[in-house]
Amino acid sequence: MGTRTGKYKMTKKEASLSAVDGGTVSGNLTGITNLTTAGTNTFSGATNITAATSYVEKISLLSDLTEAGAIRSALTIADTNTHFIVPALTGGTQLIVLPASTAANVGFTCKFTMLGTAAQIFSVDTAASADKIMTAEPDGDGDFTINAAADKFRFTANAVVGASFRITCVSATDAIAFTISEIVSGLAAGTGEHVAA
Amino acid sequence: MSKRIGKYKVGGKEQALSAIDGAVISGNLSGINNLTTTGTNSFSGATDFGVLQHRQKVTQLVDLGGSGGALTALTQADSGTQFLVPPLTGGVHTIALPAPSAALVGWHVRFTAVGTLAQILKVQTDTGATKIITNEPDGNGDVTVTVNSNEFHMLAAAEKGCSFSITMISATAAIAFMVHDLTPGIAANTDEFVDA
Repeated sequence: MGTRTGKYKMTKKEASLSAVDGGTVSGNLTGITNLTTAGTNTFSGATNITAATSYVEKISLLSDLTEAGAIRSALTIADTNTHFIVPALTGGTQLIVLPASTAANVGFTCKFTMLGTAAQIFSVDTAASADKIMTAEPDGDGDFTINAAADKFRFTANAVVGASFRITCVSATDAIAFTISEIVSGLAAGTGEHVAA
Repeated sequence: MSKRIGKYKVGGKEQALSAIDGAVISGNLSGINNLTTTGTNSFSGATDFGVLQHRQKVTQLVDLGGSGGALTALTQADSGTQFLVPPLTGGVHTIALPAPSAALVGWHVRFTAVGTLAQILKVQTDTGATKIITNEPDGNGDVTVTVNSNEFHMLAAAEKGCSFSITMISATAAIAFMVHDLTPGIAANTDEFVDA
């Protein structure tokens, strides 16, 4: 049975040749001026943007587990660039596991920000003890406590709203797999909210 | 010569009309739902991605050895890259920033040491007129601020984890770049960065 494209009745052959009616286009798209999509776009190759780019962060509000344990499933590459909001916690140390330090995960990055007073430890853990995090904890007096081979980076129970940090997978080499940056204190003293383990 | 698109044998005209077989499409594409590509994508116009998930581009710099020298100058294509700086040997290593221009405002990179540097890494502007707004932690809670530097250095003492970001914030040479988000690799939080 024929289909219609606009006002025209199309044969099956014509419909199969047309991309206007939802056909799958293969090959390269060049010469495009405006591109508008409404669904999910996936670019698995290198993507270069040489003009102004606007976007919003992916925000994910975590839920208090109310007991010690994993607050959610382990992070994967699908979580990259997500800003996780950590609520006040109850019941014990709650953790989240990083993706493994593999070549495919290099460049993975995410941020954690406290939404209230943690009250319990919130721990970001490597997937394996061989995977290390290069960390720096502000001491509140201008210097830091350094641990360049940590397995975990944590909000302590004292962390309050606004405390945050970013973690990025920078290498598939286990010893230098992750780095901590963008550390922000929620406490005026500027210490006691972040700790490596 | 005719070819097939799917199960249909098509002539030259039909082939020319069809975008199914990899033709070049010009004009606007709208009404697209899902878009999936596996090659290199280039967007030279303003781009609104809505919610964006991406991995950072990470590039390992190479120790030049010898007496050090100049690493490949940075370009527009490096924007968004996190450069890993290995322990260096032989002498000072330099890397040149791109010239300030309206097209590059927003350009940014980050440098992270992945070992004790042992030699200085100098990040340099293109000319003396192009300036960097810098701050160097003094380890006691305050910073040394210089608003007209030509260089920002990771010093030989810089340890694994030491890092900083630099962003082109203006096409005006006098306020072209800003250093920010410094992370120490040593507990004293001083003597790993300096401007020049």
